[in-house]
Amino acid sequence: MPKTKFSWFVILVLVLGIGLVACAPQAAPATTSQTERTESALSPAAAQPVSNKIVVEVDRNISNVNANSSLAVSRNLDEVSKECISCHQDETPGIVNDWRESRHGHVSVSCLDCHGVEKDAPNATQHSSLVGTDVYISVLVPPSKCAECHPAETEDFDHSGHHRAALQIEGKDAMQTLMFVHEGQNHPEVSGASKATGCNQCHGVRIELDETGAPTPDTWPVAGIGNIYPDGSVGNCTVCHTRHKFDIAEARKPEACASCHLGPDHPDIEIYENSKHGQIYAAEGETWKWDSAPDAWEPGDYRAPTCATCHMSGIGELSPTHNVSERLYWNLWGKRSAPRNSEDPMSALTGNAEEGRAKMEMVCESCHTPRHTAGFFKQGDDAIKLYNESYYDPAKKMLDDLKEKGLLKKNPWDDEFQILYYHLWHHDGRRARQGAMMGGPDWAHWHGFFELQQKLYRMQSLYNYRIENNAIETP
Amino acid sequence: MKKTKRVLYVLGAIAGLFVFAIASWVFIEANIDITSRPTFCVSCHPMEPMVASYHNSVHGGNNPRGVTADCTDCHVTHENLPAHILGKARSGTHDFWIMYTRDTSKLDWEAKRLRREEYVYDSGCLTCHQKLEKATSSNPKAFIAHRAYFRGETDDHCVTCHKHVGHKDISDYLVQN
Repeated sequence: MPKTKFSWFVILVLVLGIGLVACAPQAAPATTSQTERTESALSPAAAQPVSNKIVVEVDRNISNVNANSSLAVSRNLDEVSKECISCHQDETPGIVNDWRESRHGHVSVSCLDCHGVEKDAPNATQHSSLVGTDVYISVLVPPSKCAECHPAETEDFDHSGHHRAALQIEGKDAMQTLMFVHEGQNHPEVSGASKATGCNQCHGVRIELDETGAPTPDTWPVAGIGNIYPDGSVGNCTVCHTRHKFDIAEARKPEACASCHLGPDHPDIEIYENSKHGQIYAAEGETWKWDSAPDAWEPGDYRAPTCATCHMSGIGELSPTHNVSERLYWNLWGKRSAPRNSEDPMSALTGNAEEGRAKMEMVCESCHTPRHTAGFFKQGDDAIKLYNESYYDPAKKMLDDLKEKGLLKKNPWDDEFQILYYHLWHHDGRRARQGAMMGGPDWAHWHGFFELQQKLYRMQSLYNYRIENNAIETP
Repeated sequence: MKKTKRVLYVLGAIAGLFVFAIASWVFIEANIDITSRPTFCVSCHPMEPMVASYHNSVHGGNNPRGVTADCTDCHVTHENLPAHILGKARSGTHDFWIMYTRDTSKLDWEAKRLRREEYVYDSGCLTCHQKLEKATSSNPKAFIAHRAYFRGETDDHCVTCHKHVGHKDISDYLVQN
């Protein structure tokens, strides 16, 4: 009997021991090779007592296509594009990975379909592996190329205010002076630096080529929406559908617009975040359905609209549009707001006010009652009228009067009255108007009308001083 | 006797007319064919770069089977036969007139390329490429890229996108000229 008892004791000890060993890795997961590497990198003293060097291994791209195996694609691709992919998955893995996950990748639209150009194109280039072949490529992909498969979208774009983004800067003397003389300080070499890093990256630029056909570093890379390409086509689809994924879901999110529609002069993303729509998006947007087919993305897929929903999407009876001016009544960025009434995309009033309002009301009424919609626009329109008549008109009257009497400084950016005038319409005035029309109360009020009344009073004081003394005040 | 002779004359006249009709048909058809080809068009000197770049292109025989399209296959409408004959006569007369009344060295061909939709006819393209409309998603590039065109959702012509079709590297040839 004692012998049997002893055997049971031995078995019990063995079972407990095996159990403990089996559980150990879970309690201390540092035994996997992956973590070991990380651990040793984080505590170099323990791993490498001799050297003090910290070595951290970082994957360039987390979902790197060549992390484990190389990508060999043969389905429906031309021979050249297959070669592109075989090298570029090492050279630029992010680009190849984006493409792999894109709709383009699914339908076999590949490198050469977009980057291939004819030999006689001004921007035709060849990198070393192409020399000797009749394949010519360009890093520049103009909207005319996108139009080959997406003609309706580019045509919409060409009628929108976005079309004008770079062209309007080119044509304005005062703007050129601001960029090169004032912001660029007439620097002998780099007077264009402010323009290249600022203006161009939202508005776009006329892309110039060097003698090899490659874009010049002064004009490229550029993320502006109104780029003018060497073939004359205007626009930049990759601003909202970033390369090389060109994702419809990405462009439907407010962040797609936010890299340009932000800041003191047109805080549209901030207004959206401030609005009830933005609040709902922030609270639960990550659970919504973002990739429904074009014209089939409807309330239910989302619980509140984004920028794209109201300004572009085929919600309800409306057709999708890439003309962002199509559903607008007012110009809300000009000095004085006026209803839109022009077919010329170069006009500040491009669009049709009555049709635009009717379409936007259809958008609103996809979720709201007609009474709600009518009340919303009544409140917004009143705010525009208030800005126009009680702020802009008196400010403009004072400016014209001072100009006529020679009581303005030649350099407007060194003249308090003129700086206030600029801020009144370009910053505070836009914030008030855009905040009011897009449901952003903080921007309509505290950053808008509250600031406006102080600017106007200060301008009136300066105006009265200059008229009474027939002189410009000295600092 | 007299009657038989008259019958013979009538029969002879009918046979003669028949032969004449056949002969003129052959003559006209042959002439239309001859004057549709690059060998005829290049007999006017200004057409040399167009024909040289044509021979370099897929449509000019630079393809595995050596198949070629004639000049008029693309540059004259193929809506219907009368329109085709009329269009051919009109543009032939126009080119002949310009050749002998203008200094053709001063023509800006690159500027003319920008309005290529006016002198390359989709009806010509679609005479050969008629199956393009039936493309399915199993050939995604043919299907997706031409869907808007066949659905009538764009005013673009074939050559709006296919800028160089028929004349590979034509700018190089125009410069050399």
